[in-house]
Amino acid sequence: MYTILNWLDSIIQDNISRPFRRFQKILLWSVGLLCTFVLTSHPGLAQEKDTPPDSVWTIKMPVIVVTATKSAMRLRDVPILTRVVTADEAKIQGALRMSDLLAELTGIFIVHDHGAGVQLQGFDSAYTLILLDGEPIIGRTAGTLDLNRLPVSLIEQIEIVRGPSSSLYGSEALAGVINIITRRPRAGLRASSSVRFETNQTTDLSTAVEAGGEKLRGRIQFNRFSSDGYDLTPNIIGLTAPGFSDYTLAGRFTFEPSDRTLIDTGVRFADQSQSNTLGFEEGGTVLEFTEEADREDWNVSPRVRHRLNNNLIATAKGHLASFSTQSILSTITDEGAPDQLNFKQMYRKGELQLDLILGSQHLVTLGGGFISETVTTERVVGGRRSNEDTFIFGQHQWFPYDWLHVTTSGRLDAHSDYNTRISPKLAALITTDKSTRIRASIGSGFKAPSFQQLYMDFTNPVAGYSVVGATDITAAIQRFEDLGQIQFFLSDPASFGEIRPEKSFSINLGVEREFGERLRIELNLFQNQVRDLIETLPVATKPNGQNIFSYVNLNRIYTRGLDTDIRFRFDDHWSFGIGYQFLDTGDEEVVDEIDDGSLFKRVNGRDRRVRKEEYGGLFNRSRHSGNLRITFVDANRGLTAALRGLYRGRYGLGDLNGNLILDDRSEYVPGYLTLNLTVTKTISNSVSAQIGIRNMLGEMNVDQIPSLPGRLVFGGLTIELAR
Amino acid sequence: MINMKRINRSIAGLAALVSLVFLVACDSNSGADEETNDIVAERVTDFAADPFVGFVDGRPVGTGKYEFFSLQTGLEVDGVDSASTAWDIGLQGTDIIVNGGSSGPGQGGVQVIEGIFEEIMEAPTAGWAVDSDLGTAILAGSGNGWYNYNPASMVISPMPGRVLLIRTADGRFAKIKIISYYRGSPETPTAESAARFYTFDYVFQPDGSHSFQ
Repeated sequence: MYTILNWLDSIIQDNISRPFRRFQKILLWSVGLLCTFVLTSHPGLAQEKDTPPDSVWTIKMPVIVVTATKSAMRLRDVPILTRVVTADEAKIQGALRMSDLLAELTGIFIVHDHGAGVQLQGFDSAYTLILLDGEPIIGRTAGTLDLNRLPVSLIEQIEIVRGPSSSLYGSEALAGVINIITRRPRAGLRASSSVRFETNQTTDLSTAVEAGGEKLRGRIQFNRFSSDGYDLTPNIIGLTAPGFSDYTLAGRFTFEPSDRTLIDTGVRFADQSQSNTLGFEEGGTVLEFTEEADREDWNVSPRVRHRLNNNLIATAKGHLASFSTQSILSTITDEGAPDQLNFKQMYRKGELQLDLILGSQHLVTLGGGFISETVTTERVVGGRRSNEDTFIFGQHQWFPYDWLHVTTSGRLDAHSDYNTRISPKLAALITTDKSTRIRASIGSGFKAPSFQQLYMDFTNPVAGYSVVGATDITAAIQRFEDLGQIQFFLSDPASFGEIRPEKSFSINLGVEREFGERLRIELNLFQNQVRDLIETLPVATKPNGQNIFSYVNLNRIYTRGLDTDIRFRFDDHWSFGIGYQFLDTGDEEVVDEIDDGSLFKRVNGRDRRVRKEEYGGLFNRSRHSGNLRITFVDANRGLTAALRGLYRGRYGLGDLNGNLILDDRSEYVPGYLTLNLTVTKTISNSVSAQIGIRNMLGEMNVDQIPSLPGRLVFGGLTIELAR
Repeated sequence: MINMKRINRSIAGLAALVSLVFLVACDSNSGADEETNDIVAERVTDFAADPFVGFVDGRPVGTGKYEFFSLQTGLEVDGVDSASTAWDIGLQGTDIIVNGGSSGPGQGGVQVIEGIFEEIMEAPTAGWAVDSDLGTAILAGSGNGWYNYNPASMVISPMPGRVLLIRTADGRFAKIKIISYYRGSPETPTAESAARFYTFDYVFQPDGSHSFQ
């Protein structure tokens, strides 16, 4: 143990800048102490005992996960921190959309910025890869992948892998990976249907049909979700959250010609449309607009798995996905042609994976593939751009002792538009006894520049500024110069153009322990350092006084913290859960500036230097957050009740005192508590009813949290038939 | 290191206290010196730096002209063009020019320094920049010159801890601290606040020396 820590320490010393060493030391020592505590309290290392099931509170079967190592494995045996939410847990909560479900997990926040995105380990939504049955869901707007797009009715379980996973998945898997697993169609005939109504005319309808024999099975699901939206500011034209209607049609089909071969295909088609009225004042007159936004996305994902012999499995996967949006802005009060904006993204991937068992101690995974992406929109040079990524990855899982599991993995991404990336990762699981597991991992993650950062070509017709993607900046500068559109340069144009992926170095350490069958405690520590964050910077000024912007690798940030989750089953009826996260984030440049005394603030009209303790880190991150869950189950009466309290501590909203950083009390949104209650009653074998209240306390903050609509009441019915 | 800093700080505090006592003592002893002792900062409020007059292609525009100000008289200079030496600084939107180099015939120059307005007691002898064809000496753009632009709130704020040291058209010195870019200096301006109205504090040294005391 000591040598591992020493070795980790030496790696950290090499990789990490000075101010963080102390935190690293504390982190390492606390884990060292924890390990010592565990080792001394349980001298019978790797003793044989009966294996308790993974989660005695919900299901009696061991939970199998696939995301962390790209291979099926029991949750308790996985060396990388993984959290699982099952369909049963989702049902007890009564969550409709993926965002509702994830919002209730410790350390996860739903952040509303062009959609409901996930914040994980203090990272923006752009840094978490979202998968559906192992394949990426595409279509991000301003970095956010809107999790309202995905109905919960699709899922069998969700796996949340924390820490960078670029060593297997490539770009975007920097904070972690969320893999939404749908159920494999079962034999027999099943049908289910559910309906739910909620405040604001929110309606959800779901239907699924599942049929299968020995070899061929399939399931088709349909979901319709709609709402009238809500308005928190009636004196302003337009709704705070516009109404919408959303359709999803999804299917999964499997064919097993023999017990060695499985052909498995997932398909999904989704469409959302919304409309809103907007208004703003121009020279004393109010102009009104209607905005119609349409979103369509679909994917077809076939895969073939073949067992060549007892030690070798080959899997071939294909993934074809499309995402398109269209928005039309037309004036009501004035004449003029509607302003239309189109965006279409196509994603094609082919991947081959080999899983090889070598002796009793080694499991090797090798894979490679090709991704081709195309974007078509008015806002890129030439209207259409594409790029290619060729990748190979490898993973070695080694089981030298029955108490130790070491996984090494790495991936190489050779991309047509930026430098080749190599992402390594090392993870270990130490099972000191059957009830205690220690997980440690270090690794590197990356996020490729987005389409916008690479190919954007846009001039704002109202404000008059221009934004040019990094790949086109040299040509664009030439073009602007030829047109006499450059007054003077603000930065050396030669410093633009070369854009690198954003990359991270991360450490995750976790201890999980079961105390008998009733109590389970989990404690995790994490630290991420990101370099080469892509920012916009003005290149030159135009004669109209406006700037030409482009993208450069600029900032370094860090996120680090601790989260804990405690589950306690009191008796057959009552169980409790407590979660807490401490999160510390910051921009290293800002920290350096404060250290140098070159960052100021204005207090009562007088300037002074910002003190280190005043710096609140990155905006939109809560230093403290937590949740409390109480579940009551009465199996005899078919009654379940779940009460959840979610607390989000204060967080920075935006700069108010002119220095652009979070350093003043007025810049924070106060902490708030939401209480959610869901009660489910089984009426007969096939029918169950559910009622609930979301945000029971009616917590609202109209100015600062427009995504919080107040109290919502819902009720619904589910019918499930099986033969 | 931290302890050292603390000690330094307390020494500085002690020194400040001692000098304050000394000053008070001086003041009470020699009331005659009072008038020449201190130059008080003057405040200019809501100086219109070519505010918006209308819309062209849906974009708010001004007249495209600089509004001139004399630090010596403390007044707006009307009815002159940039070829005059009657003005020291010119303001148009977020752009600020000084009377020298490519902007005017005077001896004007500028440097944007990092520090606290009240604590800057002397104008340096070196480091003066003038406007040229390559751009204004006070660099344009958020974080480059005198202001920060917050893209989230679409608000221009003077950067705290930035002082504009000005060499006037006739070679004398002044220091400027910009308070607000919006009419009425609202505490928390919004995108709707009336922009291009400067409120600023300045100290002008009439005797031609570098001192601001």
